[in-house]
Amino acid sequence: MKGGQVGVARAVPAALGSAGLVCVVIGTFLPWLYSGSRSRNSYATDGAARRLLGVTGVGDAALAAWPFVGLACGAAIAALLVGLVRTAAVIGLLAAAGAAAGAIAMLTANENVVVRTAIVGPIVTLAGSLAVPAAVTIHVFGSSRSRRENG
Amino acid sequence: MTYPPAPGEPGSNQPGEQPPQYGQQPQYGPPPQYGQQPPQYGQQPQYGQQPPQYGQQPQYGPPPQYGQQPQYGPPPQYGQPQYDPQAPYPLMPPPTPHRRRGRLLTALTAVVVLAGGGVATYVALSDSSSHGAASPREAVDDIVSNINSSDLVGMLDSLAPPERVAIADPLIKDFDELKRTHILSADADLSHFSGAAATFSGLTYGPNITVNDHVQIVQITGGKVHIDADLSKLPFSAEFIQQVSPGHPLQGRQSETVDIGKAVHASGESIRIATEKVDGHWYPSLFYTIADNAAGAAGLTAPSAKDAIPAVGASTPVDAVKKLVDALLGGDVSGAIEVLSPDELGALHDYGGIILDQVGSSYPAAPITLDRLELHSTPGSNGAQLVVLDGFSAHIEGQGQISMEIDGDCVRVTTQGRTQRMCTDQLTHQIEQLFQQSGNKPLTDGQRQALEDLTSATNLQGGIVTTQVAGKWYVNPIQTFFDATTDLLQRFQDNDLLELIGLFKEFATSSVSAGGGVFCPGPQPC
Repeated sequence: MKGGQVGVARAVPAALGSAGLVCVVIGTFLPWLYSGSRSRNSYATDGAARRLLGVTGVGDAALAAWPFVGLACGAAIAALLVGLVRTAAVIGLLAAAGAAAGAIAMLTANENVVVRTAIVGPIVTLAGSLAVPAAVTIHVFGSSRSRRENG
Repeated sequence: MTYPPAPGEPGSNQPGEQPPQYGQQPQYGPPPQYGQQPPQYGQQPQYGQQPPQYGQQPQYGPPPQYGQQPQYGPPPQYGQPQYDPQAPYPLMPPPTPHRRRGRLLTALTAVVVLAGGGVATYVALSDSSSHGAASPREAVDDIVSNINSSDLVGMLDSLAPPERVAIADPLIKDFDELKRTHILSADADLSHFSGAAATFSGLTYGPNITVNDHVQIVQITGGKVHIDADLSKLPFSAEFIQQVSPGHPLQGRQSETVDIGKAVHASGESIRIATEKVDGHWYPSLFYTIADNAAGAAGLTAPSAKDAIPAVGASTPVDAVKKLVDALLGGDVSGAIEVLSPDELGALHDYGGIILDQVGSSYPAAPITLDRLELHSTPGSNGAQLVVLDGFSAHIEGQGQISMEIDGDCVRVTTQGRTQRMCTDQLTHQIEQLFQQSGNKPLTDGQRQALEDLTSATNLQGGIVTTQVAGKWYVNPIQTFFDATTDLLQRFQDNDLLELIGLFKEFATSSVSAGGGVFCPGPQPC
């Protein structure tokens, strides 16, 4: 593999992963819940759920950790920028997994809970979350291929 | 048995290569020869020579120079290529200014991205935890804004935390259960309540009334409220409307704007909304508002701090319930309020004095002497404990001794020395017989199933909610009521409630037509 190709092979997953993490953060600030004529982003929804639903145990811990999704995404991109690819991948995957779980929970909650969920926020977050494992997969396959080609 | 080393392994000398000599001491120049004098660090003093004079430093020659590398000859050669020290390093060339700038820029970008994540988290935490207001009036403004937006989630969220815990969770659960049991329509939405809306505008306020250090009354003296009500949009299911009002769907729309200023002027009383201070933030309080308006309607003035009944509580959940039962049976109003949760019913504690002024500090004790009360507690949600009845024994004036024990789904009752065991399935059978006799027709399968679910829902293991405040245990009547309601609703199956409504309607109709005295709607005596 030539140098230019190596550069592209590294840049594509990095760009995809970073874009995914940015989408995750943007999605969490978009509407997740409608109540009357007012919409709430994921964090306002998270706070209201914790205060109103009396969630305990693992659910409460997950809701308490939700506001730190943005920080985790920022840390993953920062690690990627300074060349700590594995650290970036681990933090990014954890953040994406948490964000995806939250988005899926909200999208499927429509049937069960007496809230009117918004689609746009969870969908953008979910799309961003899915981009991160895709980027990691591309990076892993790209690396192993370049190792094979270099003997 | 030993084998010659494999190529590439230590000890396999390939022609032309200079492998490192593992296990061999590196050569640091020639070793000292036997018999040769060790390095001279000055001369040893000779016998016969004068010892060194005290105060005089012995002369050992010049000391070795620390910090200086000892000269042991050339460093070992491990087969590394020889680089010209003046030549640039071939693999890691010194960073050019352009590359250095690039790295600096990357590091700066990383810091900015990380800081962005931090800012996002700060905003997220603010959004997540934003509740409460800085002043009583702001608290009222918040809930008015939520009412104007028909934001029920916001309304519940803006309530004082203890009330929120007592009301919001069971209300949301009950709403869901009413949808499941087809009382509310499938598309009923608590966050978008249709059928009724109120919009406040141009509100003006009078001076706040301070009840105590944590309760203030906000007075609304002017403004307008627009009320829109449309019965056809109420979120009841078609089956429910058909059951309660067959052939007459809910219809009717009313829209009205009320001038609050004129209404206040006409009545001479402002609209009073109580606010409560919790952890430094102000919240609208439903229970304080009810207490304040009830006191106002009774012509009483707002209580002062000396009217408050202190929260005493008990050392265990079971003791709290026993103290409450004793106080209620003994007619001790103050004693009953003392063990009620100051979080949930703070209003009752603060307005306790004026309640006692109205109803008296006691009422005639019940003609019951409780000999034995057996209770136990089990963990509930959010740190609460549920106190459950196991049995009791009491003497009732004019009736004699009575005792009751709960045994799973059965109750064992002993009156006047005779014990009778009654289980929920027997209760179901008796109720079925009662309805069949009154209706003169057999129950449908749906009605029978609904009755079975109703009696199984008569939860003998249901408990009284107690919570701990400042190390003492208190009874929470509001949470107990809502928990029982939710528990009851959760046990009903699909159309149970609709079937029961139909059954009770048939029962009432047959009772009226038979002159049974259950309902006597007409002017004639039943």
